[in-house]
Amino acid sequence: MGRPGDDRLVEQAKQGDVEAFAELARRFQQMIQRAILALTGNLQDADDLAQETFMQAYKTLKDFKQQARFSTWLYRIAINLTLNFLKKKKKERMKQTLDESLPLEFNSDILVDSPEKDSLARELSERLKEAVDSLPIPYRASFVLVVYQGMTHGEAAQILRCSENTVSWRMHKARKMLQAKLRPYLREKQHETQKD
Amino acid sequence: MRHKKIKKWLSDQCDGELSLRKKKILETHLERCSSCSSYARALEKIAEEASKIKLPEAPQSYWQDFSSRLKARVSSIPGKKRKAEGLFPGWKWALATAASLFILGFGLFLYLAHNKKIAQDDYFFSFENSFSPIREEIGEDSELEDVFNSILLASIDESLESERMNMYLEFQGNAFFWEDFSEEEIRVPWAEIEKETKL
Repeated sequence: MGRPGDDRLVEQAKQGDVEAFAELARRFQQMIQRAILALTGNLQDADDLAQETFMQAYKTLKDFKQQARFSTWLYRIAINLTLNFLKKKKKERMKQTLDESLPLEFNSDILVDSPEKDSLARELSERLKEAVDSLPIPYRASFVLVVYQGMTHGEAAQILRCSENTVSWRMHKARKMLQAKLRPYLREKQHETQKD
Repeated sequence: MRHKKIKKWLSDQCDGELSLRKKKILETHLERCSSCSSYARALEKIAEEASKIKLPEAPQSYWQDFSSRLKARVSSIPGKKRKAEGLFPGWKWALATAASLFILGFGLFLYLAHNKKIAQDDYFFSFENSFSPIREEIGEDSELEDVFNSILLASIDESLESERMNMYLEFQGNAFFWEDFSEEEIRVPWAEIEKETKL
């Protein structure tokens, strides 16, 4: 017997079938958590927010009209919660001026299969992570969904509740900001590749 | 302006969102423009580095734990919620009914209040015996009696005059009143009316 489709599981979950909802959560938990993690950069926060996303999804499941895909709807909840969380965190950080210059850091304890790379590449990678983290929240959200999650502008627009053009502009501005922040380093890298 | 547009197109191209027509224009421009080509290389580098970024991967045990925690939390909700829904299946309808009843009640109140006002308006104050105290004051004084009578007659005349004017105005503008009269017949009373109105 084949796996039941998402729509069928949604219908069952709407009738109060906890097992059906648990199956939906199993299907999308990694995808949702990765998107949140890319935005927050902290596994503990991502875990809390992912749990909250599914809880909110379960509570409001009867309002889900199934006009969009379940995953899109779920993403929307996750991104809304995460953006609100980040806004709150930003306010708190602005109060604690000491911590302001510190970027959000990944929890290195849970890293699995971290590849050994040359120090230069690692440095650029770290700088890029920092630069992405420092992007204004709407730009960061668009960048994470399009670049890290591989979504089209249309898909990201549906989740962020804006137009495709807005996503396109945000991506353009985000890239310009990243390029400006990484300019000295990118130039160095380009010279190196030219020498090679 | 053109370079700005080209840079935007470069970003769209990175996301695979550029049309074929724009791609061709872009390629032609990049061949000639070193500034835009440099920007294009920078974006390529950023995209390359972004694809290398590895987000922390949680072990399988974490996901099992995640599922069981979520299931436990979800299981604690539905019983109460569904039961509550069963007791009040149409709370929205209940709310709508309550609102309708309120509107009906308020409408009824307004209707009754209005009718009461009309009833009060229809009430005429009785002037019966209102002159008797004045009569008592006047007594046998003929001079006072003359003054009183003249005031009374003047007020009656004034009231009749205003009624007469209203009457004129009513038939003056009434086309049905005049329809059986010939033009000759109309001319005389019309001149009289005008004379009266001017006065």
